[in-house]
Amino acid sequence: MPDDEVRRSTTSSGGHASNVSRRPGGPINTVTSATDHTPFEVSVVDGPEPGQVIARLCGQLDAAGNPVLQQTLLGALRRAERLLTVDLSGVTFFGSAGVTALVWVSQHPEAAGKHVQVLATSRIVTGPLELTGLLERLDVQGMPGAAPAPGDRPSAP
Amino acid sequence: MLRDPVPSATMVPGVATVRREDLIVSGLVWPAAAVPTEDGDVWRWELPTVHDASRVRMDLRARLAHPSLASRSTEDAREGLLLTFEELSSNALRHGGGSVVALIVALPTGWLIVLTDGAPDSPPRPAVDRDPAYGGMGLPMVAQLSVDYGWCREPGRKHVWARLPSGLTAASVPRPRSSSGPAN
Repeated sequence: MPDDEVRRSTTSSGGHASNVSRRPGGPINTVTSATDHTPFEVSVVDGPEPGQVIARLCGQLDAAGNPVLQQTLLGALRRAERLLTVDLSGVTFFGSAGVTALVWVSQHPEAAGKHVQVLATSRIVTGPLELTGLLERLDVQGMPGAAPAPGDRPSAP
Repeated sequence: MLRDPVPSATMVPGVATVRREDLIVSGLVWPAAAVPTEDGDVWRWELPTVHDASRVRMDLRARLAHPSLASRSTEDAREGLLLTFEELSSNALRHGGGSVVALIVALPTGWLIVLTDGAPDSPPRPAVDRDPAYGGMGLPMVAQLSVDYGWCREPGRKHVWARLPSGLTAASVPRPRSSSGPAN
């Protein structure tokens, strides 16, 4: 095996001050990520109708961020009286940990009487959902090929 | 469930002699098989934590997308490699432990990826009827993305490997990203 190259990863002592982004304008309800190093950001906003909440996730949903992701989604679920939309349009990596978190929150006891919807507009997200056979188990909207027009998110004004 | 060991000895590239055993769990078989011997550019990382694996994966994505390499594979194939890296590395860190090392060999037809950990007595165990809310989807995903896959061990170390297609060789390319349905 020629060109043997050794790369050593390092453990960073730094971290982000917060994983929660605040979007300008509109009602902003943040769910705080309690730890550093989570490779994703989330903003939680009220949906267009009463009882609706949208959790917009950006970045990478992987094993490193899974515990925080699950708690973040649970926090958003608790805010949603009727409908939680998990918007994955900004997700750039989606491993099985992300799939697990979606299933976990959608069938959490506190989801009783509520509905959890997933907005997935890229194959980065729909690919793993297909591979795991969970596309039909979750309510997934915005699939590539049937996606709404860019910017046509079910977001708050 | 482990089959009776088959006493055939095989060499892991550069390191060890291993025995063949076949692990059969439910419908998914994660076969005991030596790491294939392949020539190509080798990339290697030590992964102390899942956070390191996350950072390395980001670095790998950037590396694969570099113009000098991007023409050797399709975007879907590169995403498949990143997914495989994620699943095998997180398994190695969660279920294996010890000193976890990731190795990728860039091949003309794709990549060989090998994750090595310090738990030779904990073979890959595909989940059996586990509620997906509690995980267990990583190995089935890797199995669908891969051309072939397996595991082997040596004293003190376990190697879990998969060979992935570049996406440019039609005969060996699974289509996991089709929006028409799950890949076979």
